[in-house]
Amino acid sequence: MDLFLQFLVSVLSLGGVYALLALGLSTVFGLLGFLNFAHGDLMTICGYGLYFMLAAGFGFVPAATLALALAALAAVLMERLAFRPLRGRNPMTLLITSFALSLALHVSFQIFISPKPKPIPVPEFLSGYFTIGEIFISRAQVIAIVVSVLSLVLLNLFVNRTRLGVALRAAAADFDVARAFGVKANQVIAIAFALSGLLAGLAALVWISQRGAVFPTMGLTPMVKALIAVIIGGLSNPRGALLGGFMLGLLEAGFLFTLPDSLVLYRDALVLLVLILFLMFRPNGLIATNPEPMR
Amino acid sequence: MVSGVHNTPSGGWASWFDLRSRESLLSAFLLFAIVCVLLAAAAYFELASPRLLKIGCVNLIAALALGLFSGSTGVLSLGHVAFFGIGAYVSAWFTLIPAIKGMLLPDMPVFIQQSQWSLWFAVIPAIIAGLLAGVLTGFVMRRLRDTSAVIASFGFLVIFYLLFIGLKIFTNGKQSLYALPIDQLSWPLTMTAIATALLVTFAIRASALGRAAESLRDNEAAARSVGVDADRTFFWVWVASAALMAMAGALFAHSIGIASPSSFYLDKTFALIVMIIVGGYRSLTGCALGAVLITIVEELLKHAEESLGALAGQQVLGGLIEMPRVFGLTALCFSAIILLVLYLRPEGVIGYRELAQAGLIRRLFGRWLEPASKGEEQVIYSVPKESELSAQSLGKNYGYFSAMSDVSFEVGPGEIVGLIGPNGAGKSTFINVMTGNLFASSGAIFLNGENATQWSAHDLARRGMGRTFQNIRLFASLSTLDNVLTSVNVASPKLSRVDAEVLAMNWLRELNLDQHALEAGGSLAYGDQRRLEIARALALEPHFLLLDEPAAGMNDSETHQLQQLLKDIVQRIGCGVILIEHDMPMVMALCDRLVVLNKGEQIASGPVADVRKDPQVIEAYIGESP
Repeated sequence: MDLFLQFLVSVLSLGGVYALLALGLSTVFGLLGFLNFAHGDLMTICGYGLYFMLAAGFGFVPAATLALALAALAAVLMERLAFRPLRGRNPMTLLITSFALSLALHVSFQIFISPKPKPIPVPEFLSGYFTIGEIFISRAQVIAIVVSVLSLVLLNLFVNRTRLGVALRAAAADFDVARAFGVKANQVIAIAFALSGLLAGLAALVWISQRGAVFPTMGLTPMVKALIAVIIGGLSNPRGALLGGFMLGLLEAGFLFTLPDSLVLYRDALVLLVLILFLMFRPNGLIATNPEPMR
Repeated sequence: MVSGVHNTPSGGWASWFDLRSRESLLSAFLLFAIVCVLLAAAAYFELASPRLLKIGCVNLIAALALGLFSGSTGVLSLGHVAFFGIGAYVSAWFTLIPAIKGMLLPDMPVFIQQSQWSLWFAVIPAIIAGLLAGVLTGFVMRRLRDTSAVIASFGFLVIFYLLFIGLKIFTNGKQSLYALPIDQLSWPLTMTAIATALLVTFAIRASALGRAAESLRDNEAAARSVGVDADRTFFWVWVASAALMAMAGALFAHSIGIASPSSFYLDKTFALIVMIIVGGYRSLTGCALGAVLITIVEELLKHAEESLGALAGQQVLGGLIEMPRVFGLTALCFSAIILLVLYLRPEGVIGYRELAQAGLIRRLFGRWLEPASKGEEQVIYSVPKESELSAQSLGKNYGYFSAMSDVSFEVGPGEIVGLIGPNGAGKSTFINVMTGNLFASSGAIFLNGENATQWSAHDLARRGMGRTFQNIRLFASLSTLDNVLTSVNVASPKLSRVDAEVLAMNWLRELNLDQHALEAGGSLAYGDQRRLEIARALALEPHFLLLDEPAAGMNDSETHQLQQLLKDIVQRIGCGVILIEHDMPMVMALCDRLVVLNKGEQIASGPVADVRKDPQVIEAYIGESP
């Protein structure tokens, strides 16, 4: 029972982060048809934002808020500078562009900040453990779950209850028709990127609060997994991203609890392998627009 | 299917060299010559050290290997460097001197511990390892396309990187394998490897496999409709390029003397991607050119980095800023280069063409680069009298919604059956079920006595059902000739290449397209594109042909010509035709029988005259009779 509860907390906290990342990826994919490889670097940007704000003497909460804003801004700038000139090109071109951008960002972090990890002091309320009866549960994990669930609820309210949110959904369903009905393309795309930056930032905060450091390629591993999770969930549907994210959480927590210590090194490799093998059987993902397999 | 080419088959080696093969061979030969000249010049004028030249050669091989897959399938693989790494490690197992091996890889089996092979031989296990890794990963890759394929290949890169670090017994992990015998990478070996890479990549490009892969890249639905087995094609191209990549990796490790996990990860992947993007990844010539250019740029940047590095820590610009240590200049410039190329010239410097397709070379080699042709011969295959295609109470449901129910009909050889119905009648559903793109919910399809209900699109195509598409689907970047050859390759795989080309040219002549043989399919005029689609379907030598609104968008005279053509073909070849068409005069003039659908149901079927009088049909088309 204890173990089960701890397992559940792991699944939800990991799954929450991946779901946030995956949703950010699928928001952009819904509009522009490509997966943004530089999405993980938005995480890193948020991390460095947090680091510098804290270094400048801000409290944790204001620093985190500013870091989130920075991530959103970076995402919008990314679109404006790198992707807009290529709008309408085939998705492969955009994908490669984002790949190039991502590596350029890695290198920039290395040159202009530092190749070494920068420690981030995690505040009191995020570190330590809760005890429920006999069970220890890390606070960071609980906060991760709370933040993810809260963000998902807010995101849901945004896309369903606000004008902009509805415009975003309409554009994702059919961009041309949405434009014909007066949705402004540039505005909607900027909002989608801001949103994806925000989601990446949230994921970064949760990620960092459990690990306490930021480094140039921090976003890479979580993003690679999230990329495959989005595909597994189904690229065409935000619910797919959510599902893929939590499935990934389940898988990773499963390996975390069952793998002997000697094999821990291979955990990420195994997670990726299982994800890819899964694709072999459902190449179009779990929630596909065309649910029928090809004959 | 009995092929009906009545030429005397050209025998011997000459029968291998159709136009595409000659172009490929010439390109490979010229490229090899150019590389030799460049290397000789660089060595003579001492522009670069032998080590750098060899690294350049390895880059060239790797770019060709990556270009083989990415160019012919259109999927940029981010995972190929994993095979590169595998080749490097496996070859190092055999070439390292035993004393060092005892230190670096103490847990390897004795047989490997004691071996000290020449690199000439060590390349072989490296290639085999690449082949095996290619097969294993290929089982996944063959199912994936577009974005999913790119991401999955990247996933493999990360997996193998983690394994290179983790499996210390085989790789010595992050401590890496060093002191590899650099002298083993001799010039004869390097040049042999380049020649092999050029020959293999161009041979695959020239083969039916390469053509099939390119057809998939241009339009997968159309490729399946002419019997191309998409997954298998994808798989074999992937495996071949993985094996070549491993060969490149083996040479690479011996050009720098080290095999470490970090040299088989993001930076190398990125450098290779930049090479093939800059040159133009759809062309092997482009990949080779990109490799040469980027090797030069990389070296220049390294020098720049070093001279800037000397300034590190000093105050520059009058003491305003302290010069940071520069070590990522190469990667930053690569990013800038790739972005510039994608903005300004997304198809790369070369684009789609190979060296031998350039204007100058064409003029030089003139007649040698013309397609084979053997005069005005008629192409006739004949459809056996007993062939039969039938659908028995075919239905398709989506949940509770029935898109089509209880549709039955049959077509015999030499018969034209029209399928008509207003919009939303279920015609598209019917076509998709009949051509193997959707599963039927109920009922059965029989083709020549066999139950074909579960067959895939390419199975149906291979066993006698050709089709055209409502919205034209050609292989836009392939030549008109290659469009038809894709079908010929499937219909008569045993035919020699030159005979296949003659046959394809005859089909083009039959449909009055022969003067466009070398133009890209996508550049033809609208009417020509429609006819090319029919030529491609007929070259499959189908027993039955499903034409989906062939006259859409045609003017009266074009429609009339098409009508004559179809009549003529059916008479001569004896194939059965299912004609879906909105042009009623054409339907009435051509069809022997009609099947009428409305709201997903079959409301009439029978001879044209009877159907015309059917009250239900009249109601469906012009509303209730007063």
